[in-house]
Amino acid sequence: MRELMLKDLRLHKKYIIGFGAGCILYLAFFSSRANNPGVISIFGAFLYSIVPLTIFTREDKFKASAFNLSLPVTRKEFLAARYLSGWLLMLALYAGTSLLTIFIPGTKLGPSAVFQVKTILAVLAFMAILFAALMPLVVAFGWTGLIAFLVVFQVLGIVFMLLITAFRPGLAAITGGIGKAISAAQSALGPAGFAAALIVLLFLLNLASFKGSAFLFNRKEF
Amino acid sequence: MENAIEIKGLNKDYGDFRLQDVSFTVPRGYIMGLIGPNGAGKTTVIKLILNLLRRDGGEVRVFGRDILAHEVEVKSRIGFVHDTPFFFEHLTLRKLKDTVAPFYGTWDDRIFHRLMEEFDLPLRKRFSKLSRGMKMKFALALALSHQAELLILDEPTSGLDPVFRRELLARLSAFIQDEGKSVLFSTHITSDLERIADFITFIDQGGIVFSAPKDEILEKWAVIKGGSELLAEENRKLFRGVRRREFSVQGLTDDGARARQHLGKDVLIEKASLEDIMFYLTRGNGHV
Repeated sequence: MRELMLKDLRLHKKYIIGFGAGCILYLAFFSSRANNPGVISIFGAFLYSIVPLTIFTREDKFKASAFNLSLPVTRKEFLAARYLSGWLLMLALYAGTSLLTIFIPGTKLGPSAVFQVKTILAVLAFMAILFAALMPLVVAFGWTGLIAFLVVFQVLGIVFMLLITAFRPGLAAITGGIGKAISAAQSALGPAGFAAALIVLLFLLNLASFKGSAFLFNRKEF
Repeated sequence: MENAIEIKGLNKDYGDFRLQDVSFTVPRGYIMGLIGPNGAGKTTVIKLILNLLRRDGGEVRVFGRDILAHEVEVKSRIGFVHDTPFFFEHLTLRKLKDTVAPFYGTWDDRIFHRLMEEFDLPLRKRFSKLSRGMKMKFALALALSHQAELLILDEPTSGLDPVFRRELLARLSAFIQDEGKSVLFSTHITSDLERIADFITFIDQGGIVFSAPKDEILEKWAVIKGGSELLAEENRKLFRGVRRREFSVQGLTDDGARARQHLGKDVLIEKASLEDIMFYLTRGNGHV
């Protein structure tokens, strides 16, 4: 496992540093200029989850899969290393962006705003959902899967905007309902219990994603 | 002693191509040549051994162990060279080595550096800047540096100049001097195998035509040249493939001694090369 993670780090070092640094600078700058850290954080979560996936799809570009899988590793280990590397990279990007947001000159956000539990949990949840949903797509279809998702995501975004305009009261009821459900869960479990339950739920979601990806990966031929 | 590779009833269905009931054995300490025309199924067999493809049936055992159940242990004892060595093109040879070496507990840096010197490969050069021959040499250096007990090479000599081909063959011969080491070498350049192989497995249209010791094959199989009387009804069963020319007939037999006895001195009987065998079996069958 360690060798596999180091392999990815070694093979994509320049890409990770270049793309990751760009991502951190970009997000930290815009976060520091915003009064509300939530919006940028959620947008950031989207980018954090895309970065590791673009790295994994680079294997398509180099057609190196047959070589990698001829090494003494099982497909399950190979995939587990990908999930672990992906999460470490996402967390590193989030931590880097958050710290830079606090220290960037002229920032409007202090540590208390950036490190709100609510914001951290929201970012973790978005990252976990996106990563869990996208990994099986990338495993099955590689670069094409990621591009297809981004296109569909754009289209869904437009459809969502249109729906907001057309059915504002109905959507407000739905989002309000979700908000109320979250509030009810928070008051039932308490802040710490709610955070723990959410993390467990996100972990299970990623575990299910891993199982699904493993099923698809075992059927892939190289 | 256990075999290096045992394949029994291996099947793979692609829809438009089927590998059917492939069975053969690579004994330890020997070189097995896997021959066949392009598209015969050689690469499919090799990819199935390395678990890069899913098999639809059959069994693959390497060092007596099922490849699926003992994948890591088995693969750590195999050195492989794919027909097109794809690596991460932008990396230098040193970085590629640093990436691959940690996967093998038996990796020996001294062997690697010695091979790099012998192959004249500069460590600071990017993989993308290497010629096909140099890429193959590098893949071979990686395969040999972890002291593999079994080398699996898929068409390593195709597109290479004769000098490097000979160098590679000499290296493979030296490799199996250490008893217990074995080689599975697929190629359609049969002359390479005539030099070094101990056993030959011939595969065509997804099926095994024969798998036998090379000397036995070259001893038994023969090309018969004569007039059109060769195609008389009583002679036909001697031939595995026939090629007609305007005034003559040439045929391949898998029993030269019997043909000599049966046809006497009226015909010319010559030992068949592996290329003759491959040609007649794939192109000559319809003319018998």
